Amino acid sequence: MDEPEDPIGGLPDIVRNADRPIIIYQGGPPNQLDQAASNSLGLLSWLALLSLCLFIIGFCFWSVWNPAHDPKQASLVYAEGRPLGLARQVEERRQINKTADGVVSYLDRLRADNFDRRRTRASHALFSGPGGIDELRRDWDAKCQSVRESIYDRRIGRLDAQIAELQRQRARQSDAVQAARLDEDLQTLVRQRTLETANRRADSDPALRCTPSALAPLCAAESAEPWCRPERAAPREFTGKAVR
Amino acid sequence: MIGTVTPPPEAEDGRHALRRPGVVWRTVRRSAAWVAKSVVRLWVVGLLVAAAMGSGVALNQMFQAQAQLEALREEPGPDVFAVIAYRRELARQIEEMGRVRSEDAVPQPPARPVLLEEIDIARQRNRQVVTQGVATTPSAASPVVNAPD
Repeated sequence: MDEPEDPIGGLPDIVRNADRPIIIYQGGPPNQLDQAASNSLGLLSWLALLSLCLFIIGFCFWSVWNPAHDPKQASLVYAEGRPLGLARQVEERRQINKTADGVVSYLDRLRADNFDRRRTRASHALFSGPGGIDELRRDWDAKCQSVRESIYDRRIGRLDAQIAELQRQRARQSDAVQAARLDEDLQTLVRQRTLETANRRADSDPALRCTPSALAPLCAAESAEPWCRPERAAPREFTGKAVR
Repeated sequence: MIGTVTPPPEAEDGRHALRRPGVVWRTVRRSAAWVAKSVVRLWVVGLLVAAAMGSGVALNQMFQAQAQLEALREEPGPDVFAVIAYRRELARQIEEMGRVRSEDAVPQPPARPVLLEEIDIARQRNRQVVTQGVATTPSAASPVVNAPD
């Protein structure tokens, strides 16, 4: 059997030579081993709570102040697309509401003036103001005419190029049969060119006739375009009494 | 003897001579440690409290923005919204026609929403009313003829 260890022998000299009583505890307090674990748990809880709060702050900030736009969704105000942040969505909707203010009362005044058979003095910036529907319709009609002119120019230009090529071949052709065939083709092309020029002047080709934007057909009942049935195209834009 | 203070015996390496200044230094160190621990504890707790307050404020701001957006979406209705969307579509088509120059067919205008058609009809009628009113207004030179009794 081993001799019991001298508990004082392992102490430093400065303690052994001191004139103070030495009390040695065997073992430890009941929860000593748990102390380290509870300290770690406290730190982890603190970290978890702090992380959660910081995440919530970051998420809310990004939801409100996100500067990005979604190009896949059209916006009535921003050309780059529907804004993703709530602050910009609020601003967008405010501008839309400001533009739309007074449209129905404008129509009511028009009808009242028609009933009284007098010239109306009512106006609305959405229609007659700068960038309004009237001005855009004029621009659209002018652009349509420009497109029509360019289509005719291209067609007549292609015919002119074919005529010039046939004339060059005819000038080099010595065979009478081939020359007659080329003359016939030339006449056909010249007739086509004349017809295209006449159509252009008289606007007689219905396929190339511009429909005035003010006379465009009415939206169909089953249409889902945003300017026909916005409640179908973007139902989230209407809440509360707007959908009743 | 009362009032006599027996000094402690001299230590072999003279450390008793250092005990009085060592006690002061230990006290200073303990006080500094206590202050530092208090500051750190306050900072740790304060950080957590500030983070919690910040998250509460952020959540409040987000819900307020959502509520504001919901309130704004109550007006206008889909009919007026369609007119504004029609204007946007016109502008978009004009811009596209200016960019793309190789079409083989003329573009078609966007269909008109119902409210816009009503406004167009009302404006057209007002122009007709004004025109007819000018046509039927008697001139100042023509005499007024009264029907016989």
